[in-house]
Amino acid sequence: MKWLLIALIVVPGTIADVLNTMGMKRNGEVYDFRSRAIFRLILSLARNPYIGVGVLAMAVSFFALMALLSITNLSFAVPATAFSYVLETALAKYVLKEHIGWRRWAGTSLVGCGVLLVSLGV
Amino acid sequence: MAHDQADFGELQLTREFPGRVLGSRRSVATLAAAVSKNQSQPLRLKTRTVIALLVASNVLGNFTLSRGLHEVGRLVSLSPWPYIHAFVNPLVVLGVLLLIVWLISQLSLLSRVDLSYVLPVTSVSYVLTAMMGEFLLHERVSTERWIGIGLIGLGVSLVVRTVPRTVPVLNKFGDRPFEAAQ
Repeated sequence: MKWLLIALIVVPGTIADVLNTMGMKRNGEVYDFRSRAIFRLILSLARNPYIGVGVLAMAVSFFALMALLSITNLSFAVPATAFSYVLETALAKYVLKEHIGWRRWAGTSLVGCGVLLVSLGV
Repeated sequence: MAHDQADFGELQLTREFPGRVLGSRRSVATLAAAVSKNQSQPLRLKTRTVIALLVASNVLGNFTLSRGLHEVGRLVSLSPWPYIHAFVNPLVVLGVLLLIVWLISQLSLLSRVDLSYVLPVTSVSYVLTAMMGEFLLHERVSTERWIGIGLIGLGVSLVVRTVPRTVPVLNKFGDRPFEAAQ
């Protein structure tokens, strides 16, 4: 049950981030942060299928995390997130075609290890 | 010469190239003047400002929401009433509003820069959460946690030295077409 929930956190969470990035890159660069512009942005995002599925996947991941937290504690739940850093960076490279140099790989790995330690050492 | 300068000013205001937008060092005063003088000027925020907004809303949103839900009590029910009732709590409302700010700033950030840049950089929120526990809530933060915080800081300092965006944005959101991405 625990491992099923972890899969339900990591997989939809990763899919959500990738889809949201694809959707936002297609939607165009957000450069205006006035309230009216934000409102127009939200309206256009509501019609963007990538963002729709992405936010849905985000919700699945969120509720799976809530469910996992209700049966275990944080130090079991969060290390799963640490693994998703490496997974998402790999997907960013191969699916989103981002160029990831050694600096970004090293930094991301350090952050993943750090998150692991922060959540384990409660 | 004068013509060139006018052209340059126009470029700055209306269709900045991606690299320019990201690396722009325009002064806050120019921005503030534009905002106060004329509402038709877009309110541009630097990428780092959006990151700060994202991290702050994430940390404070999680904090207020968990505080508020703690006050409300257990929320495991099939009837919608306990959920509606939870929204009477001001902390819950504030938490939800902050998480909406978080979602919008996350999406705006993803529209500008790489996912592989956003992910590690926004993990500064773990550091802030742990620090808030130590200094505001007077929880003991263990040695392992401090080492973890150090590693996150080190990792973020490496990632911020990379180019934030390596893929083109297909168009600029808004009324004007954007042709610089190719």
